[in-house]
Amino acid sequence: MSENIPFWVKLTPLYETLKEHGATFTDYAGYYMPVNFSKGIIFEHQAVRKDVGLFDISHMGEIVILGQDTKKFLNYVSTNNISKIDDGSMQYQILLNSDGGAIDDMMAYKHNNQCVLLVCNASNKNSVLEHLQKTAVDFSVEVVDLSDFFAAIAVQGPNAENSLKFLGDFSHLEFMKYLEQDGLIISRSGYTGEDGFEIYGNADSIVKLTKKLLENGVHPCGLGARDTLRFEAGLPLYGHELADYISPVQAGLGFAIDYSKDFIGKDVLLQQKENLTSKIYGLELIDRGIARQGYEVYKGEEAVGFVTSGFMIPGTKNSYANALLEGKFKLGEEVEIEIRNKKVKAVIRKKNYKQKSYKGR
Amino acid sequence: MRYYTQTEEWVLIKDGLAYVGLSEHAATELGDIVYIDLPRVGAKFKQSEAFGAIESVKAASDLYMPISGTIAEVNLELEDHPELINQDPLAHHIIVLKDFDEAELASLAK
Repeated sequence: MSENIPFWVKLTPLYETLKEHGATFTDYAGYYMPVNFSKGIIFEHQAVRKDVGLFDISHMGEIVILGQDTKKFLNYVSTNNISKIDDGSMQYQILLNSDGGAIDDMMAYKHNNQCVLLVCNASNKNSVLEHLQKTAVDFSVEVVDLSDFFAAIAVQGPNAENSLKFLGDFSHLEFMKYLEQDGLIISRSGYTGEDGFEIYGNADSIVKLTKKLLENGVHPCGLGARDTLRFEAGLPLYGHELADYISPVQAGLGFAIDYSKDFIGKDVLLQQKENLTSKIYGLELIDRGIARQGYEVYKGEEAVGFVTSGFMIPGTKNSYANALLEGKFKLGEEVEIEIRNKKVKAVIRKKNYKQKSYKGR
Repeated sequence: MRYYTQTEEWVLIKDGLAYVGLSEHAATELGDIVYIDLPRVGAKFKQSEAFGAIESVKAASDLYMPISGTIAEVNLELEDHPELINQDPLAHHIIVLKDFDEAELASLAK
């Protein structure tokens, strides 16, 4: 089958390998990424929940902060506090602009107080880099973009640890910790709500590793399943539950905010915390239907907000949505979602639609 | 004979009724179909009007009337098993029309 790859998109080092394994590609954040493989999103979603799946995450941005002010700099540009974690640990961080809007959410890998690797969303890499470089002027740090050096995969699911046995025994690697081995960074982490690992390295080593894992029966998965899995696990996606107009306070990400230190956007977050007028809620549809991003939510006749993400969980008839709503809503309270000019009943619920099953914590 | 719209619906006239479904190409392109929004029996639609929607895991697509007509029947089996459209899109109609405008078939592809 011939395909026309748009001239403006980049291929990741895994393109040929994943194409051979039946990937259907889509243009995503400037990269030509697998959206699903031949068995489809439902299969991939369930493979990660019950077995083990592999995702190409080479599109993610990798930025290293180096220098004596690394800790001080990160604590100023990010909501979270890098001093709270040990070397070899990871931390979820959010970058804000001075209006309190989120520029991106990122995972920080702390090598030590002078060296931290940040992994950010592909779609935001340029704005993250620009913001970091601009802010770094007042600090003794270097901001180095290593995105073109790193290829990366996520190996996710209850059998992830087993599937990586040929690389080593990772049973003692704790959740949100990482190690460096043979030029690879291997962390126990992911974006699916399952146990799993994220592995970074140069193109050759990641391609080799991927081929071996796929030969061994690890299921290749695309961005489609990555989205349904993260959604079901209650994990936010930038541009949906977190955005320049949805702050981490509105997104319910208070665990990643440390108010005891000074950081960009802090004053706005403090005001919001005192008087929060809108936030992200979870919804469960009672009537049939699927709520998609942008659909309006009503309380009686009044429009109270809109859906930020919504799916029927693959393999089930359970239909859920996250929505940014104005006002205060109680768990179990009924609202309506407008789907193609029809109002469909939904109730407010917690936005983790499945218990996370992390290991190593 | 089956006729096709540009929006990938098919229509087949059988025993004085018009059966409407989705093309094989569209079913493949959509991927896993998880929900079909069916119209009310008795509703009337004009040619090219949206009568319902078909949804994959990732996205919703409107379904359009190949010809004008009245909904005589909807395929209720698809409510619980929308994946039948993926398995065999030509064997599973979505709606059946009565009082349809047969002359409009001339505007469709064969």
